[in-house]
Amino acid sequence: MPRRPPPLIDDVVGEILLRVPPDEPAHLVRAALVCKPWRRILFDPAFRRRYRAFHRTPPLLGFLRFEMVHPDLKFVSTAAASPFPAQAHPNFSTPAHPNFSTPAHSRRQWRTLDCRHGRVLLYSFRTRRPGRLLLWDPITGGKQRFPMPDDPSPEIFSAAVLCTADSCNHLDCHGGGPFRVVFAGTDQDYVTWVTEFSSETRAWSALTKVDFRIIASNRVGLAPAFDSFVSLRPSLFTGDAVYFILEKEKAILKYDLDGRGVSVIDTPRVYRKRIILMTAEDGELGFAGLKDCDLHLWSWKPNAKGIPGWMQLRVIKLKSLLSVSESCYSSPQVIGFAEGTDIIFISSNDCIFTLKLKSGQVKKVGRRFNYEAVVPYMSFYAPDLVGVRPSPP
Amino acid sequence: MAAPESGDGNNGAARMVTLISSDNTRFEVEAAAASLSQTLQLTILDGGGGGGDGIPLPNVDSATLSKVLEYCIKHAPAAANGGAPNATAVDRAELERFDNEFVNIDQSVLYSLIMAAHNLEIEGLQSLVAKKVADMIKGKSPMEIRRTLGFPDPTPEEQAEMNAHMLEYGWAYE
Repeated sequence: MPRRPPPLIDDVVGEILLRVPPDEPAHLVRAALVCKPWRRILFDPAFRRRYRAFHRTPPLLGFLRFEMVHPDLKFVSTAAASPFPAQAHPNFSTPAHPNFSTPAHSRRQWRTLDCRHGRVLLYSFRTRRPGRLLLWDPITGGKQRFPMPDDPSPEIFSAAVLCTADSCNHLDCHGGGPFRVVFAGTDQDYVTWVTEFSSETRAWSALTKVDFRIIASNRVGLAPAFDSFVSLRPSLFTGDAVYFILEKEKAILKYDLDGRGVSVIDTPRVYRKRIILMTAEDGELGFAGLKDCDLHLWSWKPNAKGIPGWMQLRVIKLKSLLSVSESCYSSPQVIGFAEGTDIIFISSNDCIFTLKLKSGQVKKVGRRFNYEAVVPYMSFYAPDLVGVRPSPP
Repeated sequence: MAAPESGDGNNGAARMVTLISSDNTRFEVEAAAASLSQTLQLTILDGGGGGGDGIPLPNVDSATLSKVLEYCIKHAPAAANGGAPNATAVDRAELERFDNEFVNIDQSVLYSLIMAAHNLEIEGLQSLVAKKVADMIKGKSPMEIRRTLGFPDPTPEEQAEMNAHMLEYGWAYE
């Protein structure tokens, strides 16, 4: 007869639960239902702080489409069981998210612009000012609206939302805290400008302008074309700057968050397909480009003389990695990067994959549908955030 | 018995200590290996465990203690290197292979092991077993986790509470 195992004391249970991986939120939720002592541990804020510190970076839970033409806030989960309904939408009410329903916001058509530090940044062409931008926290359901920068009116743009809470480690940011939004746009005269919104002043800063005609005429050799414009691609935040991709010549616009200065970085012009910004393995600016079926990873770093330049870090042969299905490796595109992780999104004829760069692990996470790019959503998901709290012991 | 005198142990042969399990089995082991346990390290630094005395461990049975010591003996050289910053990749791979094999054991032994690691404060062993148990429960329902861990069946009251919560968290059971 098997020996009945000794009862596990709370400290030991805590050590076990600490090591349940965060990428499947259902795992900890199920553990919370095992018994009261386990619930007590899991609902203890000290445990949850420890859990986040132990796992260090918020896990990828899913993604939204970065898509201009067809507004659609479909939340595609990368977890097997998702706390978010497939039709995650700031206007939808669901049992898991009773706070979502706000009838005044219905009928609006929101598009996803960016996502970072627990918040999703949405905008709408349809609604009147003020309030064409909407910040939404899918976990708490919190949302707030604010106006677009209105002068001059941007033709094309991208944006980055950032938490600005003092000494925040960005492991548990939620919608209620202070934030800034960096907005980069190009107007009809091909003047590109950057401005930022602060939740404290509730106002947009003066524009920092970049005129590519001037840059192009002053530079010898590689320079962004005079008609460059901010690309409809997701932004990147790393170090003390946010970055945006510029079309038509592939270049990168850097916005220094401290000095609010703008500069332009050229990229090696070897990619016909669109590139995706990412952090290199050492946390520096990088990008991923596709040549045929090979994924090239680049990092912007100083050479021996201290002059920064592009260095190719790796070449990953997608053909062998994506061979799970014949139809899946044809005409691949690189369409997203989950900040803080090593996960890259690749789309092909009819599938979307995540690729973990360190392990080479490939996972099919969705079907392709005219994606320009994806905006990944990363967050820890604590069981108590949606309202169920343990009864007193 | 020819166990060396307690002392600074600096006379060539490695210093040995004796540990006594709850069922009175004596284990003789190098002090360096036993010192992976923070609890034992203090006793050993005080000169305990040498000679015929031995250190009694009333909470650890002999089957568990022999597993614990198997781990400690394997990990002692790396621990002596201060977490082995200069260990070769081969050494590290070998330790990893050992660890994977080591936790591939009967569940009841795992639980005894993690409790012993906790009581003896052997951090590496505790996290190794905790990770293994975490991997065992991560795909399971609350009832399956209870059975895996040998919990008694829930009382009707506990069952009602579980059902209510499961309803609330329907998405986690799809």
